[in-house]
Amino acid sequence: MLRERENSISISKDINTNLKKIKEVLKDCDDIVYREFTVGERRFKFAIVYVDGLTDKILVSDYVLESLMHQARGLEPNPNSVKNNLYELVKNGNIAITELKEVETLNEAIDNVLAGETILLVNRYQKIIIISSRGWPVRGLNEPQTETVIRGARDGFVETLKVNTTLVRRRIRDSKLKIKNMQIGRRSKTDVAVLYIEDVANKELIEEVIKRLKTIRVDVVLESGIIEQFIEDNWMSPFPQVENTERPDAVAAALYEGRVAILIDNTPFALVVPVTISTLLQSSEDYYERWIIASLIRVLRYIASLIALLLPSIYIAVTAYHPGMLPTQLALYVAATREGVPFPAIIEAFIMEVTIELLREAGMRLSGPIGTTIGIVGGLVIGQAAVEAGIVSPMMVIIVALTTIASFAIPSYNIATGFRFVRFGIMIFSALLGLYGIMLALLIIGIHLVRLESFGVPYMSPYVSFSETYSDLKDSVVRMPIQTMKKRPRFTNVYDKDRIFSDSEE
Amino acid sequence: MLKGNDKISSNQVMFILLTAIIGVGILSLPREAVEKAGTDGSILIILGGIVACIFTVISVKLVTLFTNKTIVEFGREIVTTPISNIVSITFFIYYIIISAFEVRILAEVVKMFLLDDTPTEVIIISILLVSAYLVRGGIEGLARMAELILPIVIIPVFLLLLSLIPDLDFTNLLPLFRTNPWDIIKSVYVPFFSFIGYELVLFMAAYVKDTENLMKFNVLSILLVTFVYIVFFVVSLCRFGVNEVKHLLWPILSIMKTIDLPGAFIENIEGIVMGLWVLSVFASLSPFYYSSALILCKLFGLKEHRYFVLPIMPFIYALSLAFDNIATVYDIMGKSINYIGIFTVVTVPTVYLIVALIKKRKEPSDNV
Repeated sequence: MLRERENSISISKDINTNLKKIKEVLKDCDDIVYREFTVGERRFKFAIVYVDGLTDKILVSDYVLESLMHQARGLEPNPNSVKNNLYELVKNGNIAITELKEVETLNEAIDNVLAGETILLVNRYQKIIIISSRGWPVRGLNEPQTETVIRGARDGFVETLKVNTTLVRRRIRDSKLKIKNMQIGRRSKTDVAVLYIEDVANKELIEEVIKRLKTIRVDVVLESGIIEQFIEDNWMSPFPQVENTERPDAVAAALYEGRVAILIDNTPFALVVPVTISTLLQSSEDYYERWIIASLIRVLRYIASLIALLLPSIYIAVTAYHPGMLPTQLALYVAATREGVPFPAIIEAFIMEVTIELLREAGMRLSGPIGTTIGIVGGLVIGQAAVEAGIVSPMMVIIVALTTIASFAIPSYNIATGFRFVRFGIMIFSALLGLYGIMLALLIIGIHLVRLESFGVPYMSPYVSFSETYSDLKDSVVRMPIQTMKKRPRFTNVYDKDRIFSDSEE
Repeated sequence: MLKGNDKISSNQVMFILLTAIIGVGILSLPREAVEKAGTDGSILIILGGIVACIFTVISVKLVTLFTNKTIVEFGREIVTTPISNIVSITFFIYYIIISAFEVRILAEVVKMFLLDDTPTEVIIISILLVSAYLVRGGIEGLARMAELILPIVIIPVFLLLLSLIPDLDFTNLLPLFRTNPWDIIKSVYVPFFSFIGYELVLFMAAYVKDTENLMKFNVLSILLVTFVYIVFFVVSLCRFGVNEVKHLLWPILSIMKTIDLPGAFIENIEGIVMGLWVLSVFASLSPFYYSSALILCKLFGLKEHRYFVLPIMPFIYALSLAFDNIATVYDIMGKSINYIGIFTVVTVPTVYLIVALIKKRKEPSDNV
């Protein structure tokens, strides 16, 4: 049931009434701290309210309480000015905090308390001062666990939005870098920041992103994945249409390409839109390495994708339908190893694939040493035993192992899982119709992919619709030398197209 | 922003035309050209290309007179509704026959090289279903698929042809100019029918963003097709010689079978070639299938072509299985495609253009 939205509660003149109302709303919230105190000889009533643990206590006590309670006492109050302008005096004169805001309803004040701010109530004034005092334990800037690079920055996003925006801002010292804040989640009120470079990113794209974010009607946003699922174009597709990354340099690079990033509080994963199949197969390291090496690795990655998609199916098709395709000796060898295996190739492949998926899943859930043990026990022992028991052929073990390794060589985890899912479909097709079945399955996937779009950008760009974006091919299967990539990628339809300047333009 | 608004660029039209034209025609073209002109087949193909170019220019001229309309709609303005509707229905039947012809050839080839025991019906239904999936998505998907498939097919095939070079005997190309010129001119229609598909522009043009480039890319696509045909003709002639090519049903596939990659992991590359060929037939079939659905949709004055995609399928299916063996298929379907083709791809655009130009000339004088 949806909670009735409280009508905005106005602030009364009496501080006690206000406190009572706040306590009513925050009933049974034992982590809220109320501190009432008086200031000056005339004993003006003040109160602060904050959430224990979300607030920098030292900041509040040293610069708010200290100055109000002690230093204010030392001042010789001019009765008239104090009487008329106590509030202004307190606000402007006595609190040594960098950021202050005012609100005029209690709801806003309470929202701010819950976000980690401290509110200051002053008797007989109908405004509440918000003292910026957010401060909670923050995880250190560790290297991202999911996207490690040999060469490249070692800092990764953390769970605090402000730290994350800072990490991006440090890489883009441009007044055109815009950070738009909004809150999503009726109950969680999660802070979400939309980042873009104003004169690079396409205006329609920015508007579309903000529009889609604003239409999200959900009560809680715990992770960027929830937002991702709400804003993606086609939720039926096995392929991700939003990129996620833990790397600030990847986000900065995306912003410079004219894309839009969405940072979400409480998660180190930032979202980047739009994506294409070629951006998902890029890694930030590709640009730090020299182009020949980077290109080779790119080619390798595309091959890995093909292996991850197709290898088991090709094995099934070749053994079941077209043994003549192999060199005679190999064909004989494969046939010999399959001698005594009681299952058709498709069942064999499914047994092994399911086993390896189980191992992968089990290994992922368990921490370090146990995970490794699972890998060894599963991979070596079960594989070996299964072969010796005659349930699967040794070729199948090789095929499955290769497929799994290939799927880990794909930089984007979520497209790799997409391939994983699709792989099983292709296997069924190949068991039914051999190589022809594989081609049909590839056609179906191809048709799906060419029709898929991410925020209006064709998913298969730059391989399709390239009359406008053919220059993006420089950064696709190969990465051309950086000197030749004079323009920003075209797929996002950027405004400021130049990336490399000649001297005269500087 | 590259919004999906079901519009394509002239560049994409070129890709659709390339895949649509090359798809099946290439299989038997070398044999037909050799039958008619022997070693002068390449001259025949060039002439065929030139004729196809002329009619392409006529078709493009025609469609650029009318914006955002297919021939089904602007035909009504040119030659009154009943006549135009009859022409449209002819086009529809023609495309159904072409589609059926293509899937039948596909099924036969797949059966011959890949799946001996699988029933033809299964192969035909499966490819038709996949094609229907693409066609339902509209012209944008069609164009993107063509862009994707063409390089995937063309690049490996040319690489494979390169590996054939040591086996080629270029003296097979000689002697040239031995055939009676009049005979060559009389048989130009043979290679010309391998260019069937250029008239798809009559339907596609309605969805083209930059019609001003249409002419350039359409002519270019015919030139590229001619080039590809000549390469394949020369290769098959050099590989087999005149007499052998005459007796091969599908010389191109036979060539592919003879390729032996030195030191390659794969013994015979038939499987790969077949895979590529399935792709190219698929890319060739889909535009015709799409156009037939589009014709019905426009005939009934509806917006969505997708409701017609599945209802058409049984017709294509039945037609593709109407004939028992591949010889009759080539004989009856191939010939009927050619005869209807003379009407649809030659006569209709020419007559329409002449009438349209006369009407256009009249109009201003009427107004004055």
